[in-house]
Amino acid sequence: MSQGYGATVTGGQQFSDALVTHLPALRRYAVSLAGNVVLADDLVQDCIERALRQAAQLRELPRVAGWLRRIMYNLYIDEMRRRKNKGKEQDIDDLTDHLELSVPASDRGVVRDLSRAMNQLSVEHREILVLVSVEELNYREISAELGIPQGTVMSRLARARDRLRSIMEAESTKVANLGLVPKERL
Amino acid sequence: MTKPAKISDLDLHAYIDGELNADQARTIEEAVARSPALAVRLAGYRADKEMLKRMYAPLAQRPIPLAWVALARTTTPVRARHSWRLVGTIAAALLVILVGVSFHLGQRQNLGGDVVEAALQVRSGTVGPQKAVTVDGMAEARHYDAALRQVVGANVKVPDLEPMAYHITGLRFYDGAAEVSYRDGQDRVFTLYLRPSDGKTRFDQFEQKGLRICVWQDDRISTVMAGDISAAVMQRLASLTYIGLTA
Repeated sequence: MSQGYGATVTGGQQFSDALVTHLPALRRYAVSLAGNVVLADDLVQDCIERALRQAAQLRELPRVAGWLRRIMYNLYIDEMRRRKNKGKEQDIDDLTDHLELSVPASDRGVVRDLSRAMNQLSVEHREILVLVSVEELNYREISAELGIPQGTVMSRLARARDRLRSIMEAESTKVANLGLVPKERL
Repeated sequence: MTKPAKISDLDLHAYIDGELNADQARTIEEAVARSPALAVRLAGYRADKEMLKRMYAPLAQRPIPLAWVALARTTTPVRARHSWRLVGTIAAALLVILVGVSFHLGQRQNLGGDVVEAALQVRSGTVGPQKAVTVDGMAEARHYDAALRQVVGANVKVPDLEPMAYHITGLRFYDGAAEVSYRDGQDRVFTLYLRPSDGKTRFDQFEQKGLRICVWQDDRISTVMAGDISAAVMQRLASLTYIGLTA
């Protein structure tokens, strides 16, 4: 039986190197999933700790990115359950501010709308949109990572995009009806 | 005349994501050319996909807290890593001794006070180093990892900025501080100043004296990165530097 990474000294070193290399992308994934920068940073910290504890379970180092994302996803779901039980709501304004700082000024209005629309999607829809659009995985890779058939990937993605589009269009209509569209966006 | 093929939603999305073969893609393109409504839908989905990427992608360029890197490294088995890191060359060993001897002989340079000011003094040459070495490439620079660790009192190594086309050119060692210099293809200098932290955490980026400066400090190390570069390039270099420092 092969040993997982972290089970040996050499494996531990390779594993921690890979973990460090993937931290920036892992944080990005956490932010896109959680919709809140502070929560995302807490999740990354938890994810590192859990990954280190479970390093022996990782059989193929090249799959570490997907493995870390699965840990992150599970941590996020656990956290959402905890918050739901406590009746705590998620703050999204914080994220919107962060994302706006990351993009050119001309895109900021769209970013605000898009990040708010993303936060209205189910976590499954957010996840699949991020995997395709940001992590740039193909359908086969997503299927393997999520453990679902490729057909399910396609149908989930189609529903997620439709839902996102309809939220964006509804918001535009609402804002236009209120006469709140900034001049530069008309 | 053949009836135009009906385009399913799944095929449309697969087309957007480059999952169709050439024939299938052509069928979609022909259908889009015939149907303005389909073209509008396609454009909407594509715009959303593109904007999601533009919105989230820069988040991965942001510097990550050193505490995460330390956590990722310190709680896993580390013996092997330490052993190969400690294998230095004679030159590096001598340098460590030189730095230590200089310290004890009282040849101290005053680099206390504001870390940015100290970094800029070092960069401008206002303060002379105890030891300066010219290096050509990361293989040579690796010989000075031990000296760098000795000076800053933390388990660091000389960062490799080659992935961003910044080539290492030299290191300068001071009492309790060090500076690593890099140059890019346009001969622009990027410097990394390091010294032990005063214990406070700090991260900020600003312009001073015509330079873009990034200060990144945790409870162990203070670093000041400086160069005639944009804020975006600084962000990427800062991330690469911190990953490299603790790699």
